[in-house]
Amino acid sequence: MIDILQRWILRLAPPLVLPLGLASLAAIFFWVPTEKTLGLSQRIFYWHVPAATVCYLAFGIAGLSSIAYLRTRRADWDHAAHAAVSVGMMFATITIGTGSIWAHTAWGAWWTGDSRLTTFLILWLIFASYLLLRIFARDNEMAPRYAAVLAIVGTVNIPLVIMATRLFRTIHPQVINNPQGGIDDPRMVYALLVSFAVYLALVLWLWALKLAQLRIAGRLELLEGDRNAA
Amino acid sequence: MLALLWKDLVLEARSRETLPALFVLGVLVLVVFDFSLALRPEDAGRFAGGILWVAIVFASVLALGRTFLIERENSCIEGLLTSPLDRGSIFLAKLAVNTILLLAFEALLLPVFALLFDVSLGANLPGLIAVVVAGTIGIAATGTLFALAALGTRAREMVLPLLVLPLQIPLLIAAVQSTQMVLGGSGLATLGMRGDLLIGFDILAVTAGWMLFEFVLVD
Amino acid sequence: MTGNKAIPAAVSIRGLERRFGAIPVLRRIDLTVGRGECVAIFGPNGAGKSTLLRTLAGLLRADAGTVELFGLALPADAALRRRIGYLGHDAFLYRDLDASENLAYYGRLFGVRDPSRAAALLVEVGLERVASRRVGTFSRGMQQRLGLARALLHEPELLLLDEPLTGLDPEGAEVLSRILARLRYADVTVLMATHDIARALESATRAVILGRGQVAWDSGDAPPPDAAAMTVHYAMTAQYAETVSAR
Repeated sequence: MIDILQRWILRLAPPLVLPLGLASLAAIFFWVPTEKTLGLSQRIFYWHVPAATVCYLAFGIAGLSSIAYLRTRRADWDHAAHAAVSVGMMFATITIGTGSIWAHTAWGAWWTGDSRLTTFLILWLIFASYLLLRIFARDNEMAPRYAAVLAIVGTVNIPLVIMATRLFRTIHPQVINNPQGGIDDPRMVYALLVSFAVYLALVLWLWALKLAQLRIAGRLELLEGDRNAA
Repeated sequence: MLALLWKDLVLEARSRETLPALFVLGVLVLVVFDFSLALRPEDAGRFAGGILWVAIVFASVLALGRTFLIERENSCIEGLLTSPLDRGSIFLAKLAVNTILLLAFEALLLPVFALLFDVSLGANLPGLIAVVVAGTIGIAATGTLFALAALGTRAREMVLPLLVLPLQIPLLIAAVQSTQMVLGGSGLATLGMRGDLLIGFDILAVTAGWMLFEFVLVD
Repeated sequence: MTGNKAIPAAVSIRGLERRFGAIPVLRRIDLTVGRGECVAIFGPNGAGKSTLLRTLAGLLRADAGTVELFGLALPADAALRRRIGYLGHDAFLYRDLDASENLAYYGRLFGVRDPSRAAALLVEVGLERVASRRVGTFSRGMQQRLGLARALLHEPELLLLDEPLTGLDPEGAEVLSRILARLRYADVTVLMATHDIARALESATRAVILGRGQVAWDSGDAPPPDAAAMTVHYAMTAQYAETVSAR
């Protein structure tokens, strides 16, 4: 199944990303009206929100793939999880980055106690430890299993993290009040949808690429192992 | 079966050095905070909850690896694996031992904490105990699950904090806020979402550990 | 190999494969062991003897192939694990407890009801005089003996021994031979991996040579050869195993 997914994504996604991306940029800079309360800086929202959503998606895939790996012990699922976490981390970084830039241009503060930013910071830490575990445990053949357990616990932790940052928010002043802002103009909704499409295509494409790389590396390792032992 | 394994582990814990090490570590962290923050007595109250839990979390994360190191040295884990005992029970037993160890450590730490930061523990003592116990279970559960995994890596004990601390952040937030409130005299009923998060985390951590432990054990 | 099809064989392995990381250690093992057989498994280091035994003991999972113990497929459930005894390179003993405490603990773990079993086994392995001494003070040979006692505590129907003779002094080796004889009388199946050809053949009913993760030679139904002939076989199959895996 992974094989089929990978092949189809690699075939469909690349031709979509560039035109969609250009369309999205055009929409954001030329088409969409300026939002009332936040002004120009609000436009970053069109890339900030999809990044966050797609990041959740990636981590969700990581969690599910990890469960599949523990059930079936097939290396493909482990590669899928690993790829998903790598890609998810990238988008988490983008989310934090765009969120921070937005906060700075709009309110002058690089960091706020905003619930989304804090949530992503914590998620970033959790899945960074996943990637670190994979590095540290590289020689240990049980590494994929440990990583899978970490991914599952990490993914299951996400709702708790969201709850916790909401708690945390009551201490810090909530600066980014309403990121959805006043979405009165339907053009904003369309622009957002286009962005979602771009990000979705992009995340799947990157995931498939990373997955392909991991699978080839895995197969190479097996072949080398056979050769060394013979 | 479970009770028997547990009995053995408790026996082991007695003949070991983990508790003193935990205590000294905890006190060290408190003292470092005391000197580095140089808080005035009036301010200390606002940060008390946070300081306490940082000390607990750090000391515990460093000490939790120990209980498994002993097993690993004698490869006794494999002895357990060949026995009829099911993997989930092994986790629960280890969890119980670690929790008890941590609770003993906290019982010793709290008076020192109260002294150093001039905090009165008595405002809602049963509430405080409840919060501390709930937080400890969460810490012990996540630590127990990953301790064995951490030992299997090149960096050994150094990796455990890396794996476990990010996951414990939600628990930490809930525990610190709950502790602050309880130290201020609030009742448990007023904790609201904090209490829910504490308990929710515990349930999740223990269940996840119980179900996933075998994957950390069996090759 | 018992020809009776109605009773499932003690051990039935088909196509067992196992890698460690990328390196294959077991490459297609096919082996059937009937009840009551005492199989000595020989082979150079790295041939996969320990891996095979650990897989049977439930410590490792196979990458491919099927393993059945008494007709039940692995991974083993609690009931099946109670019928297996395993003694590995490490004796699984707690250093801070004494001999009796170790046996008492494992007894409870394996559901041994009779408290006198532990004492009886201590006598059988010759450790009754040091029953109350901390295992940490034991010599390697003594630990080995205690480990053997632990493996036998719950009267397993299948006994897996990984190099049991290492560390045993001649007296200890005698103890092992006596125990193996007793077990054969009780129809207990024994699989024993070892380097000591002469000693092993004293007790074995069958000999198997493992080479590069495969069964290179099996004495099968015929009684195993004497030590001298065995050594020749061993040397020859070492080369045979090279050619087998090159295919």
